[in-house]
Amino acid sequence: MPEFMLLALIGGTLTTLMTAPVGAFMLWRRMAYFGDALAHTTLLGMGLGIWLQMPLHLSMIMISLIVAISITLLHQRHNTSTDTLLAIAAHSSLGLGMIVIALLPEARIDLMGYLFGDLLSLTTQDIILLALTNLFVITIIYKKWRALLLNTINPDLATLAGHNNQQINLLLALLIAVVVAISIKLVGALLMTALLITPAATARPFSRTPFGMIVGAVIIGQLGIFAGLSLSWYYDLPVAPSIVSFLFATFLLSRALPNRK
Amino acid sequence: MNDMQDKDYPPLITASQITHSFTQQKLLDQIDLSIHANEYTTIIGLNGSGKSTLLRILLKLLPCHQGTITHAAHLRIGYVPQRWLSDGQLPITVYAFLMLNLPKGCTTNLIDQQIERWQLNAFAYQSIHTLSGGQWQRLLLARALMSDPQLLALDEPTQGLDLQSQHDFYQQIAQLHKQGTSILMISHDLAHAMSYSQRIVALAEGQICCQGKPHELLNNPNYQQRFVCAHQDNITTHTCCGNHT
Repeated sequence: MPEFMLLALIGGTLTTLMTAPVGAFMLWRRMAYFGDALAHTTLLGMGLGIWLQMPLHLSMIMISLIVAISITLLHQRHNTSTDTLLAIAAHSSLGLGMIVIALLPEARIDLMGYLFGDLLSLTTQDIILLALTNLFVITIIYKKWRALLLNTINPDLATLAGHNNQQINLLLALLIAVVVAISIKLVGALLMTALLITPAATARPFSRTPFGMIVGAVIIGQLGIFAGLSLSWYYDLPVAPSIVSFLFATFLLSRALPNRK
Repeated sequence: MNDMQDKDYPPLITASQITHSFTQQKLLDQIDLSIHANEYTTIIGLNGSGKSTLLRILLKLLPCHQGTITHAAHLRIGYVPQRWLSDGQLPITVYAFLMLNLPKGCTTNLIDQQIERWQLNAFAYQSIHTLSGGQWQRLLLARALMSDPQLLALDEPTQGLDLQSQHDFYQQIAQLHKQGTSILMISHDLAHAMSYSQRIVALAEGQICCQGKPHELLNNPNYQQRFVCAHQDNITTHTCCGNHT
């Protein structure tokens, strides 16, 4: 197997290990478009990163984080509906990002790669970054599992159990921001939400516990990565759209099969 | 029913001059209220009178804009919220739900005891989303009692239950009260409030319009006007009191 395929397989595997649990929480909390909005904001992060000569991953994480926290706080304090805030944040940052990039004529940005991902161009450095991000995301979810779940089921019950709901909401926003900013290289801004949400939604009818649903989402995500790479290798198809299309097929199949739980 | 005076018991929760607003409309206005140990208190009121808001403020689930809430030291509260809407996307069984609420230092024996006590055995491994209204209330009671609470707070717990299930539920709560758990309940059900409570707090337009023992309230003109007449008006329009505002 060529090295770039091996790196793509390892990178894809690492990515689904973190997108599955974060995506499951997004599904449970009806935050599907949160990931989409954050994916749009990364273009602004990319433009600012080039302008300020910062590592792009870092600038993308920072901008995603600022937007994620702003949306969470505005929703909590001003009672503005989340979908309104998400639409404003996504498209404003996309517009601002395009302006920043237009002001940097020397910057060469692979827009197609940004929009649709480039799994086959992963480097060893990317794999190390993905592994570290995985460690961070999985450790936080493991340590805060009970608080995150209880807050998802009923915030009042979480408060009475001694958990701080505002902190939990911000923590989840942080996790989504980090996962989106790091994973965007694989599937791109336009297809990011599919990798987060589709495996979890596919696993739902066959799951009886939250952990079981996450394990199911990881397996389905891995299958998607493997299928996408195989389709690209054998039929010369673009990788990320192949992954997303395969995941869509598994979702349709899951709805056609009898509900097991 | 226990007729001891409030002052015989220490206060578990003391609310002083509580005011709470939503978009410049006052939902609660300068409420003073104490909830005492061993008491069975029911807060009644018409829709929009601020009952649930008051309960959530008393439990410190909602901040109050003015006034203070004081809880007794190390107060253990069990809370039975109203049934919340769920799209069923989060797969969780009855057992796993109780497991999530297991207090620190307790073993799973406590879950087994509660499942046995509240007759949840038959559906312990079913999704919580498939439970009927009565089963759901028993699950929430089991959850609330796992922390061995001094105060059990319930927000309209019999909403949507049939009459037999309501009766069974009130009997179970009365049993818990006899065993020493203080009860603080929000209810629309005046008959229940009169039959089971030691103290009734009646809310109207964000203020306490009257409070006291059930027989005291029956003779209170404020109570008569706002609850008995309002209730009768719902059944037969303009048949009593004649003093409509």
